[in-house]
Amino acid sequence: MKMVVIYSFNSKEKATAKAADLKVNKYRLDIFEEAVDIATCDLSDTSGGQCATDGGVWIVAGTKK
Amino acid sequence: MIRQNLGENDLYTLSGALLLACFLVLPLFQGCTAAGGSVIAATGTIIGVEVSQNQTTQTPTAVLGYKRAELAYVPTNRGTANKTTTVTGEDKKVTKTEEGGLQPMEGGAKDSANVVMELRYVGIFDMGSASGIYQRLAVGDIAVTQPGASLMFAKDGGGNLDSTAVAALSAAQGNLFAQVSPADWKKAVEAAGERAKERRAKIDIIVNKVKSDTEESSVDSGKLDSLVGEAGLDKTNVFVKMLSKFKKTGDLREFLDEPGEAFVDKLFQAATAP
Repeated sequence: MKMVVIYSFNSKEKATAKAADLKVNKYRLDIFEEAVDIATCDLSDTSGGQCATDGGVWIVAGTKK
Repeated sequence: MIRQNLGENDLYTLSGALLLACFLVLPLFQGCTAAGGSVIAATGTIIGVEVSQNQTTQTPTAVLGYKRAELAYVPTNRGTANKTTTVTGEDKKVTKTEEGGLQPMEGGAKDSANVVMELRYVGIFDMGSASGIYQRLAVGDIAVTQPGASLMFAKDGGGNLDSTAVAALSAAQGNLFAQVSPADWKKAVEAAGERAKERRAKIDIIVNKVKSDTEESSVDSGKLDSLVGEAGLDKTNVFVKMLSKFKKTGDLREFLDEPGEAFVDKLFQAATAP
């Protein structure tokens, strides 16, 4: 099962903990960025939803195949 | 003058001999070893440069070659306990099981090491600092992913780390180690490992609760729906709605193991309620 996950956090500690979770769960860590100004997602073309978060956040994303 | 004391053919012979004397052999050996159930990662490399001159045409010729042999005897958690050895004699076969030794750990033989090796030879005919040979080796799951190994492999032949390499390294690692120290990262991974163990133990109980009575690898959707209700989960939540998509226990287990973790505790409590 191929899975992609994206998270936002307001602290380095939480972001690091989630990144480590992804590592332990055999995800490839694709994004580990601090002070992201704009983060959006749009899955609406495939029956998903949309999301967005304010600036100054940590973003962690990973992929598992 | 030397030329006056030697015939023309003698001079060609001397020149050829001197050039052939430029033959360089550089053996390189690297590796690591450990006792039974462990690893030997070794590489043996011979690099040769031969420079000569054709006696008839006086055309200089240079040949570069290398011979390389590598062996990786990979470390595992297999252990050495109850090791069985079979010896075939002339008329019989004897199987011997040794007592004692190390017990296998965790994933056993599945826990094996990664090995990254690199050989580089530059500046074949350069007599200055640009000429050189180096070989790099990293062994083990941590060694090939931790920042130390990445930095080692990112250095140029002179041992320097230029800005381009730093940028590439940072991008390759999702900028992780530009923001988290290796020590903090190690602690975070260890803590995540403990969380994963606890979460998977709970997931085992949840999945066992909703599996089909007739087919163990299938999810009984009725049982799952009931458990979601008993857990008090919001059935309009996108993750909760996704639960009904999984028909195989393996897929459900994998889903719960990551994005679903927020409600694993509630499902677990419902699954273990008297």
